[in-house]
Amino acid sequence: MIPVTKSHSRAAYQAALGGAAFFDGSHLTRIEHRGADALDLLHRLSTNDLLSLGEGGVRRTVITTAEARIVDVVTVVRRKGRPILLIGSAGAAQRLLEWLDKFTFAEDSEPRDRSSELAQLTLVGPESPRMIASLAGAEDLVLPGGACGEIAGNLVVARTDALGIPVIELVSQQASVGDLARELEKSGAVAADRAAWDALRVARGAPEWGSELDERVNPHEANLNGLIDFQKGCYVGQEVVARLDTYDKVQRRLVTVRCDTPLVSGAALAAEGRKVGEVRTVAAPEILDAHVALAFVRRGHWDPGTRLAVAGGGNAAVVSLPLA
Amino acid sequence: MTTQTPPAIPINTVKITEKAASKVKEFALAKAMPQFGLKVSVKGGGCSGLTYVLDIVDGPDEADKVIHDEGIELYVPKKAFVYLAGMLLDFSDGLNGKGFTFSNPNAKKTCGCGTSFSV
Repeated sequence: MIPVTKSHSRAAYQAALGGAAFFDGSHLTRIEHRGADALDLLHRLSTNDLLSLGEGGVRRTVITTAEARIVDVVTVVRRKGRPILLIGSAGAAQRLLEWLDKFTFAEDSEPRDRSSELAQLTLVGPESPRMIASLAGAEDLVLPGGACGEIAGNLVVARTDALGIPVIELVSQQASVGDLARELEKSGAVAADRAAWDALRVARGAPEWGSELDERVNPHEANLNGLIDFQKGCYVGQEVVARLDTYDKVQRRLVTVRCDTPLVSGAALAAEGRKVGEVRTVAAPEILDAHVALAFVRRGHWDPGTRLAVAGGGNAAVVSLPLA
Repeated sequence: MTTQTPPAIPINTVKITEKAASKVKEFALAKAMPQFGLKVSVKGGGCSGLTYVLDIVDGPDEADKVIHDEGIELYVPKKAFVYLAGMLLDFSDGLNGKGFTFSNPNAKKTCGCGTSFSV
């Protein structure tokens, strides 16, 4: 663990939108995926097109079951001349390794969990590409979205822009992450905590495993359509993913709701006396100056402006994203 | 229109019909391969989870189960055999033919095009 919990959540949130903030990502899963067939295998098992991902590229994709349920949302980091680095959700290593093994027959594919050997920081904000240039000692370096690189041979930087703003994953050796955090702070990045991260996710509609995502959710429901390539052809789950889209059969969606009273995770949302949704991640009110949360709501209730009653009292409404 | 139920295949093997075997021989001849066998395997992918893979090769790999049927050798990787045991490989030709077809008792669900299945 690194010392990133003492900062003020609101300042960190604002830094992520106007400057740069960094979060501890060490709890995430990091798998080194060796083998000539690794990329092809991942392509066949997930929603995004990975065959067009060249060396030095980064792409997020959703690994799905044949029923289009989510196994995990992963970031594929295709380093130059090095094994692929897969970044998955917290605690997903075993699940991912078993899933990859299940579909490996004759392929040259050797995934290995390196989560405990490597550490990770997630740098967020418009100033973060400049900070990477500064870390690399090359002020004119620009790390574009969807690109990765290495600094000093052992710091992997991978820009995902997962929240719709610059987001750069920094993967380092455990021993050097403390120095890295200090270096970022010296450059002006704010050390941020979990509350600021959750507020960012709520404000930008980004789901996370365990809070919004599990093996019962499909990508359409979870705001992950941007990670689906509808032209790529077959992959595990493709038929169901395509059918849900073609026939407009998605039954619930992840939205952000604003309420006039405090929200709690798990609270039911109702319309005309009937439960139509459930609150998930709640943003700390002092960060966003409002009671807002991610919530799943049923078909017919997900358009911005839709009014919902919160169990236990309170009136909520679905809001447009992103929130400021 | 009548439909035919495929014959029951013992679950400790994979079988090929005479018609499919003859087609495999044709392909091997076209590839000028005097010694050949048909690799019958699966790979992860396809809509339903697993996709059938056929390949004409010049011999088995170490991890292959070798099956003799209809005058040819079938090579089935042991890991894939779990998903293919009891399968009949056939060939459907003609204008509306599907090419090689797979009657696999392990397949709980098959995708629209018939080349991908889940167990």
